[in-house]
Amino acid sequence: MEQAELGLAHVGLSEADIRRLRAMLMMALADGTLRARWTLTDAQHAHVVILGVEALDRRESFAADGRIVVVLVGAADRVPPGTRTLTWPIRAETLLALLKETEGRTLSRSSVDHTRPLIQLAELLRPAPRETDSAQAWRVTGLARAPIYVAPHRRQFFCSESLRSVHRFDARKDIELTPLAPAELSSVSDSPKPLVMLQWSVGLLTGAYGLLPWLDASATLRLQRFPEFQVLHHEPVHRRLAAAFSRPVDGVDAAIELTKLDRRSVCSFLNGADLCGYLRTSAPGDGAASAPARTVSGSKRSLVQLLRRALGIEALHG
Amino acid sequence: MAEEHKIIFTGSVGAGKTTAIAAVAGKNMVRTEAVNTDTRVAKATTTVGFDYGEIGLPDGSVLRLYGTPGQRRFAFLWRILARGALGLVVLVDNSRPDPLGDLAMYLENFADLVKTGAVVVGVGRTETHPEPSLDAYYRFLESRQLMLPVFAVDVREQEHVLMMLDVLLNMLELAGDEEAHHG
Repeated sequence: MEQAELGLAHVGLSEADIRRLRAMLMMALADGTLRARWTLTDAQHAHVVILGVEALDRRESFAADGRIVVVLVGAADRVPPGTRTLTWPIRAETLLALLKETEGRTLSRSSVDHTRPLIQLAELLRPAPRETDSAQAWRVTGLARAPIYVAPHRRQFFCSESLRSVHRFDARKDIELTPLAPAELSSVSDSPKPLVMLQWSVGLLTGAYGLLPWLDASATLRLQRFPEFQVLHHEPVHRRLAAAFSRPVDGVDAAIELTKLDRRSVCSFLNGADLCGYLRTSAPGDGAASAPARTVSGSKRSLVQLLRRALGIEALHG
Repeated sequence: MAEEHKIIFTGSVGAGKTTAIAAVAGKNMVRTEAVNTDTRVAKATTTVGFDYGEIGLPDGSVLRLYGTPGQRRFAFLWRILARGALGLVVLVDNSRPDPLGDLAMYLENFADLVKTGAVVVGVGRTETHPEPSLDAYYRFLESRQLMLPVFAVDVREQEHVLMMLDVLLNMLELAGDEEAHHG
């Protein structure tokens, strides 16, 4: 079973404290008692955030999404009453306790009550075999402000608003799937949109929980076609991942190593690509499909970064 | 002389190579257009030498975006331009009689560059000419054991051109060092 991935972020820490945090995280992971795979990530995607005292005024904004937020304080620092603190310097045992507490809160909540509907939605959005001729349609509520009507057999969905609200969906919230009779679908007045847009967006959302259950993280993975970036909401990391998977990659870990991106980004991309029918997988160890690990020299990366900056591509957002 | 990094834009007459380069190089572009005498192409001027746009890099080197002349009689120039190039953008005009045949011709003429994998295909005029579909392009490439990115693009949109170049640079970087092809 895919190990859940949780994120730890730091904001406003000194370079020395960041180095120490990384070292302490390594030690906490080496302890072997954590259930999730922990990675350093940005605050927006994190489940726990460690703030420097300088960033104290941002505490409320991070805590608003239900994250655990702690402030790293030295003996001379003063913080408002009720502020959760972590004593400087960060120690492995206190960090380990913090991560375990976060796991206790997050994993039980997401795996039982909240993950399942999103995965169910992903399952019904999977590309159907051509011989399947089910006319079953669905109403999805909770994913966007307005209900979304999904007609997989017509390769369409209907929604009165932009998919931007879907991309802002908090994966911890509930959604509801209701089967619809074909006649009910005909009464929907919204304009149809290509199903691939919803498949891609839902796939990206499910990356918060790792790979979709039917994907094998150790399989050889490659794209059979590129996502249609002109019509699909995307970010520069998705272009990078598409380029990486244009050739076979032996598993998620190899992709992380090759692209230097985090696990969540890789899983989100693969989930989106799978739901859209763009992904081709083969069993681990299949000699015909696997490829030698690719290595990229620092000089090549530097040249490409230089070119990207010169073209102004770094500033692009999908 | 400053070190040069080259990216080549190729494709049929009227596919938008000059427009695509201008979209990213802006004023730093040299054009060699002349009155078009090919009556089969509804275009007042066409590129007779090659176009290039130049972008200076912080380390003193330059990135040159070369647009090849589209007409087949200039194929000797294509091979000269391709030497030492980092990557290739193939622009296909879907309104032409045989867009897949056009693509095949360019892939064959730039075979050495295609082997490196740093190639992107942009298909224009798909809104008015949806066939062949992008699926057909992928099937065509697969029949040649190729997996290249194919995008429906409007090269007048700078964002589309930059998207293709971003994918191209990622392809170049992530192909791995054994594929390095830079002269």
